[in-house]
Amino acid sequence: MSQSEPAVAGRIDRGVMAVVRVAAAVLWMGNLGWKIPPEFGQNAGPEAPKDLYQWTSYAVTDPVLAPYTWVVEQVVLPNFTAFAWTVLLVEAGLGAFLLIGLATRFWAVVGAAQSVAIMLSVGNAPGEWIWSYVLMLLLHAAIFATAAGRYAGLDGVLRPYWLASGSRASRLLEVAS
Amino acid sequence: MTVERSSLDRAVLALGLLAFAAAATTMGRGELDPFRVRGWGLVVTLGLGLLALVAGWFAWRLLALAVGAGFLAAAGVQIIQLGGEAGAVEHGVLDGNAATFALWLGLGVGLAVLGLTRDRPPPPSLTRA
Repeated sequence: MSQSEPAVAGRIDRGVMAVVRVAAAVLWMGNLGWKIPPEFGQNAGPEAPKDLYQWTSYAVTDPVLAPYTWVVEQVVLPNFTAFAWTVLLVEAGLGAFLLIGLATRFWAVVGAAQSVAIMLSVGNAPGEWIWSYVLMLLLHAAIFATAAGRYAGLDGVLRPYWLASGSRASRLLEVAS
Repeated sequence: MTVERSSLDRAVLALGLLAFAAAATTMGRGELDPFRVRGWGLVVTLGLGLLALVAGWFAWRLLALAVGAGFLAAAGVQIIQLGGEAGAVEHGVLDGNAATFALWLGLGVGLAVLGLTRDRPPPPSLTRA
């Protein structure tokens, strides 16, 4: 497949993948509102709504993978504020860039990795369905595989300019899109 | 007056329409209200969205860049104010949350990138990606 040819050929298919990409963006953005800085639930009482601290702690109380549990218990929870802000900014970036379809393949990889991290934290938590997170992983894999930012996204608008430019930044953006 | 719009200008128009679509979700609740665009945040989104539409329609790339900077500034204000108080869902003068920050981040980066991209005809074999 040459770099100028779409990964998805038909017009309807391209439209569907654009909708899938935007839906993924809205999924991430819709789950930002309950992550409330600056404490993210660290000092919340038992009656308070669950925030990121409670959800992350499930990796310890209801473990999915022992090494991941160790990392959460020994590294993440003791440095929770920094971790929580990083999660907030990464997920905001996911929402922002998938929405406009810029550097979409890069953000699809980030989204897949974040989906795995969430799955390893809450996969065995009460009331959770691990397939939700498997499906999120597959969603981002599909966005990556189809380069979904090239349809109704800025990757599609800007790729001809990046391909013509030849600069280092343009080559990076070509790969990321 | 005939204006020659490139694909970049049409993309600016599209982002302006996206701002209006996002603002429309203020009428929804729960999952149909993913961005929490409220109060002064709604004014910012609609105002800058309108300017983006003007920039795209008249192919004024500098205005697109300025609007992008405006959205990025709003995003900056939102995230800084989010970090300033504990225990509140909506913070500060723009009445948004982290999702509002993400929306403005996306619109700001997109418009800024389009505003900064110089028009040049792409090679004929690379006109449609």
